[in-house]
Amino acid sequence: MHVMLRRKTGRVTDTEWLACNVEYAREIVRFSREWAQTQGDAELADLADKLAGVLIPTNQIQTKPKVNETHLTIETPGWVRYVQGLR
Amino acid sequence: MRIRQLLCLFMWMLGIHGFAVAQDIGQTPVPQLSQPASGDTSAAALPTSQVAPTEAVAAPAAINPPAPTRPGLVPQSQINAADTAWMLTSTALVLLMTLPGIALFYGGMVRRKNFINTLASVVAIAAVVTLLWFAVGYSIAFTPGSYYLGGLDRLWFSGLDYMKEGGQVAVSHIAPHLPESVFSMYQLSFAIITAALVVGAVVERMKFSALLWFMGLWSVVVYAPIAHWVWEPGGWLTQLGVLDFAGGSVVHINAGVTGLVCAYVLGPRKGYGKEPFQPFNLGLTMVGTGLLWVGWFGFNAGSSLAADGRAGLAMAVTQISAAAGAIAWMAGEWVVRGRPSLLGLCSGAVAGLVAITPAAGFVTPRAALLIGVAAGLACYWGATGLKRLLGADDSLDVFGVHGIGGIVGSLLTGLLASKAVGGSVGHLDVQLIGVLVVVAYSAVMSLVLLWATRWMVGLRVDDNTEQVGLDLSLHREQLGN
Repeated sequence: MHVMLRRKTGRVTDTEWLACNVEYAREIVRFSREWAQTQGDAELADLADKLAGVLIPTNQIQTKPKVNETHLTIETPGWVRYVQGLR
Repeated sequence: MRIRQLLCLFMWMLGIHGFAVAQDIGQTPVPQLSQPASGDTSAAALPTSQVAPTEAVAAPAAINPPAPTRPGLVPQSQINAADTAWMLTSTALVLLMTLPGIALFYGGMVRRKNFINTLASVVAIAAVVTLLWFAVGYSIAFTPGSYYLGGLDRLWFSGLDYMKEGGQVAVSHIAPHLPESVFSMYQLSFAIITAALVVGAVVERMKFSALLWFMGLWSVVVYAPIAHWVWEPGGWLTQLGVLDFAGGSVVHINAGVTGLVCAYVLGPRKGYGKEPFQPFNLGLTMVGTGLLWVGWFGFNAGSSLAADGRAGLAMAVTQISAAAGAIAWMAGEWVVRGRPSLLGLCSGAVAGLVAITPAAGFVTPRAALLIGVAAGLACYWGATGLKRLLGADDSLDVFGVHGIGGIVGSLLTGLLASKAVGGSVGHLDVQLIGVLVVVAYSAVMSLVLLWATRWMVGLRVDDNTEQVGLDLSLHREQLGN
């Protein structure tokens, strides 16, 4: 999906963020479906459906990870590295 | 629209050129400067720093030929070969700080999709500022004129002669022991890096054309006048006694404040504060930091404008302050966040380098240690706590590091300047005035120029361009996998 979106739409997706953030995944699905509909791209529409069906429910559970598992990337609740700035 | 802009630019350039030619034709012969003995490196022949404090050069003038007050021609025998060699080296070092130092330092911190645009911005700014410096910037910054602006004698480098057969070469009154071509190139490298620093505040959303228009105008309207005020002996801040050895206010406060104003006017990047903006490659940022650190020896030690003891001391205090800044930032981050980061170490080193810049030719090594520690901690706060307070998306913390570091360094120069080192005693109140003046002028004029740029070409890319990334959208280029 990442490769197809880049090749066909020019949009570059962040696959790591896609795998852990449900809102971002929803946006990518929305964008892909919109593009697929306007361009008549059945292949991209199929991939968007698969992503919506598989990834989003899984990640809805993973978006609130236990503190112990995430101490390397999340310092305080709601604070994710590089969201508020580089430093 | 674009054609009209290009035409306007071309006509403007022609107009200036025509004026320069007219100046050449109508001008009286270039004055011959006094001639110190060959190889003379006494205080009368050499300015003590870019700042050239009046009290430092006044005393020896009684026993030596009077120092020149204008640029002019001198016999080549007056040129000091060792100083010239050092200044050629320093010029290359300072240019290396921008190309590729700043480019890599900033490029490593932006997202992958904007890496090429960041590099292109730095390269293009270096080229634009070079041509403008040649056309007008150098003349209005470093020739005698009024308290507020230099003269027009050196537009298009007119009079910047080297005559092999006559055995004469043009020199600046600020550095009469160096060819003026070397002096002007050295100052150009400062003009370039100051403009390039601003890129860090506007990356990932500013139009490329807008960036070039803005920075071009800014280098003439903001940078050159401030350089005149602080570094030309007749400038009003020099006369007031403001100390700025290598550019704490002219370069760093100026760039930091402009960056902050740009960040406010442009608005935040799409998704700022909601999505993680993962830096492309902090390894490149570290490489850029290394180039900056090494190049800073040309920046600070070169500002002595001579290969002398003061340059040596400037180099020593530069190293000490950089190290102290890196350790202080690392310690602060370790205490607050629980982990020291590579970016923190790099940022701390730059903070220390920034803060020692105005002080380098005026303070002792122990004072440099204090300045470095203060800058490391202050800039860490500037790039984190203060950044949140200000609420602007200063993308790569130009104000937090350069603005705050410059202010800390300039004020501490007022407290710590040693008469034994630089021949001048600092005054905190005078330094504060210098800081406030530069902050105010830089902020107001940047705002005006941003409005002008918005009117000409617009400032920001559209949402889709920003989403896709500026590399592909603006340059039709992309990094490989």
